[in-house]
Amino acid sequence: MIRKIVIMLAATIAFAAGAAAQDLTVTGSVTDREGYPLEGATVLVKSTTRGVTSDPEGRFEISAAPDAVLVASYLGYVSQEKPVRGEHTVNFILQEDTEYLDDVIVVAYGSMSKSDFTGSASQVSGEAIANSSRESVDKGMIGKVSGVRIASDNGDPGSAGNVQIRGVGSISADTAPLYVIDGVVMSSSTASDLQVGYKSMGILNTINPEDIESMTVLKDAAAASLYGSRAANGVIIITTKKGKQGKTAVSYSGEVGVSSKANPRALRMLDGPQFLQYLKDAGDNAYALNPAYSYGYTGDEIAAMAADPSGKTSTDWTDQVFTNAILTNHQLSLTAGNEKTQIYAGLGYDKTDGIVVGSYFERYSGRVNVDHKVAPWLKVGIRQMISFTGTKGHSDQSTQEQGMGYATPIGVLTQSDPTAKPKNPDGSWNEYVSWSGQTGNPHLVFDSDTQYNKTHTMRSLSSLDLQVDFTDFLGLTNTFGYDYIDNKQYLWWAPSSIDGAALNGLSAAYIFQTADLTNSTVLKYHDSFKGSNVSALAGFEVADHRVSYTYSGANNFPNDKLNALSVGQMHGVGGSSYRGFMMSVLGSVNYDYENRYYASASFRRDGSSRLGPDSRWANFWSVSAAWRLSKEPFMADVSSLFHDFKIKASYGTNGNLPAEYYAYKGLYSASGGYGTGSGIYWSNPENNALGWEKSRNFNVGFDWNMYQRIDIALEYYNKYTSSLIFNMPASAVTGFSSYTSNIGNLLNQGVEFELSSLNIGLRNFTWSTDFNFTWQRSTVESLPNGGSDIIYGDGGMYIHREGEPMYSFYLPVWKGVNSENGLGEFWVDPEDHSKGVTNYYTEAGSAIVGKALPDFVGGLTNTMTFMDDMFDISFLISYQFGGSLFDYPGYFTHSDGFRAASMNAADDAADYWTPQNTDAKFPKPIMNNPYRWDRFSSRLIKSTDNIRMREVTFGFNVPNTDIISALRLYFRMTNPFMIWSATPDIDPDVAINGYRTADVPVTKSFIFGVNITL
Amino acid sequence: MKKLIYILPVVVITAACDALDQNPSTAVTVDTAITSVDDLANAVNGAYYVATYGTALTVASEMAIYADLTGPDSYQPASSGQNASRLAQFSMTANDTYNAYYYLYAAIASINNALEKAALLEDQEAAAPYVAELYAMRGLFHFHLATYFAPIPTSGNPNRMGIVLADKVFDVDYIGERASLDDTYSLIIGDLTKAVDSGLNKERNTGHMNYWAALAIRSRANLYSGNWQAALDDASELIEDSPYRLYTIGNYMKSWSQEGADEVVMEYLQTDTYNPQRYAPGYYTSPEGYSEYGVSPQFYAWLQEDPSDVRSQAVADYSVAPSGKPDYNTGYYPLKYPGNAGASVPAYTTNIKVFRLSEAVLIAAEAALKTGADAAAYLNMLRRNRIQGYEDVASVTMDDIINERRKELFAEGQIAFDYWRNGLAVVKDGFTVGPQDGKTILQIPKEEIDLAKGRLIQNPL
Repeated sequence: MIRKIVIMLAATIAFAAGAAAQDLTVTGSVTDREGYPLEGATVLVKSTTRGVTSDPEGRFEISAAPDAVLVASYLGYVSQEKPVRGEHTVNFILQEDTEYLDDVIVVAYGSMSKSDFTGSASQVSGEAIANSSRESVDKGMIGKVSGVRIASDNGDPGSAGNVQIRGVGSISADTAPLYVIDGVVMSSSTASDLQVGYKSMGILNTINPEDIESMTVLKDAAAASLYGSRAANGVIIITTKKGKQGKTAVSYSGEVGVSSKANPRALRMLDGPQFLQYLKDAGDNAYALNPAYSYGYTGDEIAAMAADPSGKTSTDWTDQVFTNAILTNHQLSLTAGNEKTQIYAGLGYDKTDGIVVGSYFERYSGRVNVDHKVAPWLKVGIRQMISFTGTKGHSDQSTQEQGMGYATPIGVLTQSDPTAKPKNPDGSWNEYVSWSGQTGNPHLVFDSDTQYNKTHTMRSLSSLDLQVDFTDFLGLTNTFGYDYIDNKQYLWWAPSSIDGAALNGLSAAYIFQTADLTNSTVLKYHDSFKGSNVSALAGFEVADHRVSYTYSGANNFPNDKLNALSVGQMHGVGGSSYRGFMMSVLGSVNYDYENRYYASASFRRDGSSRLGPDSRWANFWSVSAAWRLSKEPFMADVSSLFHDFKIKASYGTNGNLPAEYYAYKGLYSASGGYGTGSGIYWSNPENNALGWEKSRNFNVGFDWNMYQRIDIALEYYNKYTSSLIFNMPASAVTGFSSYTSNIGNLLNQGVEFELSSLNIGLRNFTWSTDFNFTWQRSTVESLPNGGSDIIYGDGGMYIHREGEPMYSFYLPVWKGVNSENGLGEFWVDPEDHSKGVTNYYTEAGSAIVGKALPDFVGGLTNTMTFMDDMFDISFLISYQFGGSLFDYPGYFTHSDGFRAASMNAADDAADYWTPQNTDAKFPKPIMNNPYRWDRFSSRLIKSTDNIRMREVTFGFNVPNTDIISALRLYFRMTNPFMIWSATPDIDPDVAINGYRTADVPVTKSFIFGVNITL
Repeated sequence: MKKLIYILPVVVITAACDALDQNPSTAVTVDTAITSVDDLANAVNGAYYVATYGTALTVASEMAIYADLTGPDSYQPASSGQNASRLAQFSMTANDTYNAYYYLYAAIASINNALEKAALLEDQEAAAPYVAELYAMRGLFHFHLATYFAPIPTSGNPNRMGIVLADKVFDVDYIGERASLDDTYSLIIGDLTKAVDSGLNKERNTGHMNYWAALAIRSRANLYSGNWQAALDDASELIEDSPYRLYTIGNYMKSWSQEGADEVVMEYLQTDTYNPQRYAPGYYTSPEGYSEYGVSPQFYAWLQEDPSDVRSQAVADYSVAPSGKPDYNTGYYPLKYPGNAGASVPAYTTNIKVFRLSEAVLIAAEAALKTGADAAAYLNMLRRNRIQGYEDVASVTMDDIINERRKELFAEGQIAFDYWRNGLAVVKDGFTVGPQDGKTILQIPKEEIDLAKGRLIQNPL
């Protein structure tokens, strides 16, 4: 588009001037900064219509007046002017136009100029992703795109993050966006298709961020409706790198760094003397109430059971469980190409150790992308990625089910006795450090090979594009993709391990295989006439998703030495398979008049095997329009201020499918058994009417470029989701705890603002700022059964109530500590304090005490370069306000003595009531506390408001030499520190539902890196 | 080329339409599930599978020892805050009781569905034994629920609410109300009577509710309802006519690891594949497991007073930790969960005895005492098979019968119920829980109360 404008401008000026003089023959070349010739560059004599194009060596010859000015331009590069000054040779070195690169946006089933795009989408370069995280694509997006929130509270390397686009699109169905890689819809596998719950594993980690050219987030209906059924949660299109014509470049990049627990204040426990005092007080208080609560022992007797009752030993187990970890990354890539063939090939290796001793994530990946022009009318693209990912770690608490494993990192931490020493006098690890007697020394539990989870994942992603051009205006594209994932998960609990003792060892292998075959055939048409541009496409698509699972396990192992299945005795086997099938027809039309008025429409019809036969098929559509005011004559006076200004609006529908494969079917499960006999039982009630979850999306906004330096985009959206796929709670008396139904409505609204500005653009100093801001609200609009509340989640901690936000916490409300007797108090009725207080948890009334989703989220990036790009500094700050989390680890570490017989308490729990300390934060501890103040209440709801330094990078670019065309050294810090946090002793990064699991906390890293391009 | 473009979509769409009908690999549709008597037999197994599902708080895990944990003789050698110690301390709340409620109702729903399908089978004669068993199971599962979530009728508890009755297939949006206690026991006894009246299933069938098991559970339900004569009649028939025999002194201790032992009328089967793992009573009664269910030192000492009584051997003194085992939870433990013979993980896998013939003898003794018949004869019958050189007594009191129950049936889910239904308070370390105390009844799960919007009334605390 820019090239067109440049040519038009040049032509206009030429008519105005129309001069002639004695001409010279001028020759020269057009190259890029790295010296590669640019073939087909346009060289014009300024103010004339005279122009030529460069040959394959980038050379040109043109006749021009001695005082003429030559203008060289090339698609994707900044045009350059040079006066002839009577010389016979003029060479041009063009710079890549970064603005131009941003201008082409990858969209559904193709790409288009951003100025022609009427929908809402944001694009991030692959470089920006890889600069943040080489481990995982999702972690690299934090703070970079408005309307997108990346939520993860698990610092285990290789764990999954939640990606949330424009609020929460669903209550029960999947809320993850749809991923499309190079036009192929990625595996729709959910976590349960690929793993057992022992340990969180993110499937996005199989993708090497270094292979990515760009990621585009499609947000509104106009952008995403062409993906129809699965687009309700937004779409992320990943485009991998391509070879470039005329260039051969070999690049290496490497990183090495160290990571540790991001928030040093999180998960700190009572020290030795504090612990002894706590045991004594908890024991005495329990004994006074009822000796049975303290097993008939007094506080002194209980404290005497600690490893060192003298109070002289104090071990900080937090530093024993969480240590410093090393991460390394190596990348090698090759890009090459000529007119007919372009190649990109990349190899990558990543190893990220976990901060819990003995855990790691490792990935080997390779990719080859080949694009070849077979004939003028036929192009072929073949892309093949293969990756091997391995992780080793420890069970975590990745599901919300109540309970914390004995052998999980936080489980071991809380049960370790701070009066026990980590090591024996002879230097060996002290085995007996567990206060509960149920676990062991973290070094022995985690750093020995007696208990672990391992995964080995192979993923192959193949795609083949065929592009046939019938005529200038009509073509056919067929995209075939095959995404195969093989995940083997191994569990080993040695006979001597905590979890393995009862089974005399357990070795288990779980093999998950998913295969997704997709094929789309799209007919594309585009034409221009009399200022109008029309493009249209029509196509069909099939997607076949297969999953299979095999389990085999053995127990009764002779010893800890060997864990092959054959060494033990048969423990169990299992296996099953699943299949989901979808077929679709789709089409869209885009029209614009003189790049000024735009209109688009799209349509898609989807049928899915996951839905009931009565409502299996549904239509999804969108309409959108834009008006580029900056092209209007009346804006000519302010054309610098409004260099580009476009307003746009869209409306349309998207859908979402149930996560289950056969949710609508009335079923008898045959997977049961009794004794040695087979057993079948009624496992699912029938609902043939189960249909699509549908969302209606409205989007309005503008894109504004000021003075070619500042880009502003502002959008408002309103996404109304109806017929929610809902796991409607059922009475246990029916035989089911819930059933899948289309019930209820949800409203997501938001305002998104993005600003990018080149504040200073000098040769020796540049400073640019990118800022994004999102205000969002997810509200439950209507509920079934006359709108009555639905209470859900672990222990009924959440509520769906009409007019209230999604993920509202609904819990008893803590009043505080009674300063006279030290007992905790809840309000009997939080809405009516006149009903007084109660000491008993079970008598406390519940109220909405917070919500998980923040109101405001965003990020700020500042980048500065010095001395012609030789040095650069950039830092990214992210922020969020208005959300809360539920602190599940805090439930264990603030038990007011209830767990004193098995667990230590958090360091802040030392401030408990005693007759001397009546103004305490916590009530008096009582062993096996019958009041149960510790149970889920508003006490565990903590604000997640924070401003966090996410990334700081210092870079040094060594000036180019003959051999090395680029050499960069850098130092990067991720999550280095918190600028401000409302809850300083907790890490505020949490999953979307605000449930802080008892997992490894978020990490910070300090990394050195080098990039070399030959 | 052009032709291909037109044909291709048509071919693919036609081929794919069938692909939109996918079926799971581990389940069949409800309509096709029960089309033969063999299917019906599997549906019977399936209902046991659900009721004894391998998880916490089912009738095969903690609930199997619920009345022992809450009874006078239990003791917690260790507490890591698991379910058993919370039950023992009466601190289970409505947030915690879901499994105890859910799995039994889920099994009942499956039974009701299977009964509907069984009525459509061609060979009704071959189906009849399974139908009789399904009714017997429905009665038993309601009875379990009633003992956990409602008072025992003879306890005199002012709470007279029964449970929600599930005597047919309900729509998924069904919200039930609690029946009266009388109606609850009418359904229990009525369902068991259907099985008894069928006269089918009289042969031994380990792990299944045969004729005798239905009769046995009915005698217990009659006892709990105060129908002494009916209880006595059922118990007498079992003692006299059933194929089960009381253990002898010689085989008493061996019986706990046996499947289908002489006097076991009904037991829940546990296997290497299907067991509740760490929630199993065996893991709770292991000094190297959760160790949350031991017997009190007083109870241990009391049993040791008569070494000629074989039951004194059914408790162990593990009060001293073996050397090199610092994590050993010292105490006195019941030995009734040693693991089935050949079990891969013994602590996980012991069949749950639901009814043994000795209970029939004890029921007969109690009912006889209350109806003025010869109670001593029954107690003598049992003791002769337990105590070396036992000499018959001429008369017995209610205390004698209760104490005999403590000795015979400890660790088998009975004792606290025996106290409460006889108007006695459970007194143990720090707790005195009388029969009218709210603590004698579990709280209905919070989820159910919330969902019912006031139509399901919670048990008062």
